[in-house]
Amino acid sequence: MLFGRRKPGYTTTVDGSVDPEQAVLELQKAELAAKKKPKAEVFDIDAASETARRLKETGSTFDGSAAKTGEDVIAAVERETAELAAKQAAEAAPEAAEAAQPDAAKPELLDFLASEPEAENDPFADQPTKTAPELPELTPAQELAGYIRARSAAALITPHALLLEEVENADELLAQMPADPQCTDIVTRAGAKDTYYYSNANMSDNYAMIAQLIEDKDLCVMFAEMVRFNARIYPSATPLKYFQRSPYGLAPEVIEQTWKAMQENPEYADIEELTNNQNERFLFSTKHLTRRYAKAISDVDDFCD
Amino acid sequence: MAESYGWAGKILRVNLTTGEITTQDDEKYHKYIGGMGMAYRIMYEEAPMELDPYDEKALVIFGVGPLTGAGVPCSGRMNVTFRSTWSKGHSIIDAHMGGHIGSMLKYAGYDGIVISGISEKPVYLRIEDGAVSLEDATEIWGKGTFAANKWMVEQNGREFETASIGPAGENLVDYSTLNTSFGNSGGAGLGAAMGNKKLKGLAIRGTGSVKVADPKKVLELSNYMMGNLIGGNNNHNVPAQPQSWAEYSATSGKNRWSGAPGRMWKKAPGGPVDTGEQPYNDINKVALRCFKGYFDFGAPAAEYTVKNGGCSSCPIRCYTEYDVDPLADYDLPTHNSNTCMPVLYGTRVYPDGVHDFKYEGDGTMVINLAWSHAVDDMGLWDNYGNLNRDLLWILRMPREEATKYISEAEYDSLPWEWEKAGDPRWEVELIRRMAYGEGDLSVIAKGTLAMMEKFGLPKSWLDRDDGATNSNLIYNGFPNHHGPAEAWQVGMLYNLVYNRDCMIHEIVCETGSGAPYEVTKKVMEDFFGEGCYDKAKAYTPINENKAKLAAYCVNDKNFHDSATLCNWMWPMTQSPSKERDYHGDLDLQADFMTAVTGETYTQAGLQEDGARITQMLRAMTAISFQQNCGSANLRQEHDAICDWVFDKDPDFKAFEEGTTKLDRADMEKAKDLFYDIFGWDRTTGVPTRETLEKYDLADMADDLEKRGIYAQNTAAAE
Repeated sequence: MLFGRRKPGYTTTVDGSVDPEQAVLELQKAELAAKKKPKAEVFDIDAASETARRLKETGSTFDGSAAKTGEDVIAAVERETAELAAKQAAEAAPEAAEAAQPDAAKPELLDFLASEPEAENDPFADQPTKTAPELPELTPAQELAGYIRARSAAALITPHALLLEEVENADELLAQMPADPQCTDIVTRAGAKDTYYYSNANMSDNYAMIAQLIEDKDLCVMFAEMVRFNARIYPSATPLKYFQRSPYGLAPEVIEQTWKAMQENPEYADIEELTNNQNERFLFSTKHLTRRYAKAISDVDDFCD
Repeated sequence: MAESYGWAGKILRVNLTTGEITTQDDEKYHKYIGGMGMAYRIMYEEAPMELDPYDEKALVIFGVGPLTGAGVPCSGRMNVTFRSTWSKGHSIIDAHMGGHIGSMLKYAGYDGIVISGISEKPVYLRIEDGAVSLEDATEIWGKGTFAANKWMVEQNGREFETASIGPAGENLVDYSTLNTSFGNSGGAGLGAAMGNKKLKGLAIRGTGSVKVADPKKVLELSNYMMGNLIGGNNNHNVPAQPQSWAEYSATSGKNRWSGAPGRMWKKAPGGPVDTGEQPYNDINKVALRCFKGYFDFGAPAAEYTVKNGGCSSCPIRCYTEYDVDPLADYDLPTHNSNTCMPVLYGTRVYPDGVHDFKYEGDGTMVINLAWSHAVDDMGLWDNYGNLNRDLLWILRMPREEATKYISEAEYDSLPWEWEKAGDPRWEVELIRRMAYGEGDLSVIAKGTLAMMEKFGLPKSWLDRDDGATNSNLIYNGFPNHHGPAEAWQVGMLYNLVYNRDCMIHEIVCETGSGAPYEVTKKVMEDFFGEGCYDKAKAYTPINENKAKLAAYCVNDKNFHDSATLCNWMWPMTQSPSKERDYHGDLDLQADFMTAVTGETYTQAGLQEDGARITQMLRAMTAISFQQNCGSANLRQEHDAICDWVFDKDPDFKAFEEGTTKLDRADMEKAKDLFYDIFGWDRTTGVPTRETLEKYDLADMADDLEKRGIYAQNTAAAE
């Protein structure tokens, strides 16, 4: 089963009632088109005016927000079409519509705007309607890349073993990706137990490091790597509570057990504990921070907003 | 009225003594941008510093600017200028407030309101586009701000934005505010300045709009900003905990981009909302980034959060709105919203600590939100924590020591059983006494300097470093606000400029972001030069680029309070975008000014405009110090630094890793550099004639000369 694990709060959602294969295809299409989320600076005001005209012509609810945010316009149009159909169906059955829309009496801005007379001297009125480009057919390697990409967008790194399990000729397809310009965002990260794939367009390299450490399931290594990383890069000591938070989500007793195990292992001799002036516990690496400085930057000073 | 974009084109003048209401073309003030700058010029020309702050001729000037209401992100601010009654020198001072009322004033057609005179009876100012009137406020005089605002809305309609003073302002309590019903407030004694005039509040409805020269460009710039530059609150540019799209996060788990997977608004209508991930270029999720409640209180905030609110034109929504149901057990209001000091310092008046109410660790939150609602209702200001710090100083004393300062009867009348029980009614009762000026203790709400005078505390009281009671960097009655602990000598320098706490966030937005030091350092050095940006608690000696950065911050803040833009968000110094190497765009605010007004602005030009305001402030400060302190030597009288800044952390030397303490000789050198940049006399810190003339302020130079201030400078130098 692809997409078996979901975490709350991520930006891509998968409806469990939808046919899994269809869901994969839909996600691949969407993710390919929006492989790397466009910047707002590519936002085209002309496109927005086009969507405004569509609004008037079709009475639809599509308001151009997709174009503004860089969402795949095709996907948005498809969604809009479905919403329009649902709206028309609801209008055909007013009682059902009322039941489904308890706030129907609330005035809708878009309805109000659509009911307004045409603006005079509209500078965008005579611009030609643009037609949406057709999506290219995906190669099997591109489809697999889309799968990895979709998982990355959902904050999941993809183990090589999972790909082998799910796709018969996974290695063959993976080998094609480096040469495919559509797949250059698919990169790997070597873990202790497997190689992991992710899209660096949808997942940062540092987050991939965290995700790999989580997937490797060696908590002592994960603690040591992250404490050293934080001390070296920020620099900062690492609160023990850091590992309680997303994406680690460890229970306090697991954190305590892990830290206890580390203290008995000479490989982690550089990891030490301190308590700040708020009685909060931190770990730091003596390879990168002195105890005196680590304590100082962990203390909380008088704060104004 | 001259045709113009951005500016409404006129200001409203209201004389409360005569009831006369007029308008004035404001084109001549456009060179001062608006808001703070415009008000400073008007104050200088019309209400000299010789006036007592409560004189009938004293002014209260509400000011917005060309960007207010023009659709520019994070521009929903209003500046109010008046005279301080509580800080040293009784000089010119500002309150700054968010919400929607500033934009509404623009929509009604005004860039400002100049209030003069004193009304015979309580009134409120009603503005509905061109229909402006003074209305009887007898019904709400004596009421809290929530009831007063509700009443004004009921009288005038739901389309009106209102703001009201509370009992503190009516009773001329120096620490007093003007409040909206959503936790937006202007402090610094604004409540008393209005209360003295018997002006209870404002009710404004504007049905017009702000004329924008190039709306298409404003939209383009807005989308560029939203998709590439803006971060969380304080423009923090990395999330508080790891998100899959982000390279970095705040290791502490605590910054103002605090929305994250699993962090919920559990009381949201329709069910809990998970704030989730918010990729930096997904502009539809910007409003989920700032979970200010989580930043302030941690996990307990989720249990009480309804949603995020905020000011007009702002996508950040830093006003978390709560339903704190445990407060109902104490017959206290449960619906609270604030984002600033009122939600941070309430627990400080509980020397015996606080306890959990409903969830583990929620004690601080419940107590602070009870404080927030009570001070907002009473219209009481806390002077950025000095009210709480000074209260704690005396409340934690044994009875025999405390009764050296307040009477035994008063001490015994305090409901100590509530304090010991961690009961929120304790703080509400303290706030009530402060707001009504009851008892010896209430002198604390008249200001730290008034308290010291009444209690016979020597100037050296401010030199202490006990960490719990005062944090005054200088001797003028206001506390550290983003000073050296967050911005080394730079923070100390910009804390010297104003007659209240500095309200400058240009550096703490960077140092508090949680991004790696080297990443932010590169951004800052690329913008402001090598050596300008120190590592946390590992400072280096002063250099010219640091002094320039401090001056930049002052001028930039002045521009923000004039334009108006939110200084908690602007400028766009950092970006959350890896592709931009985390560099923001300092020119964007000038680009917005150009697009909105149709006139060409550059960032360098805005610095000049901000510096002109700095010079007006400094000249008026010199005049008021000569008038009220007997000396216009601002280096000695205004800019002297308390000893604890140099003597704290006795186990550390200045510039050693692990401390934020400064070095005396180094700081004097820093002042020299800072004064040189601004063109101030090194001996006295007063703007020279050449400087004022450079900023087209020759009349101020003539004034300083006429008053003998330049002669005093010469004498001091000799």
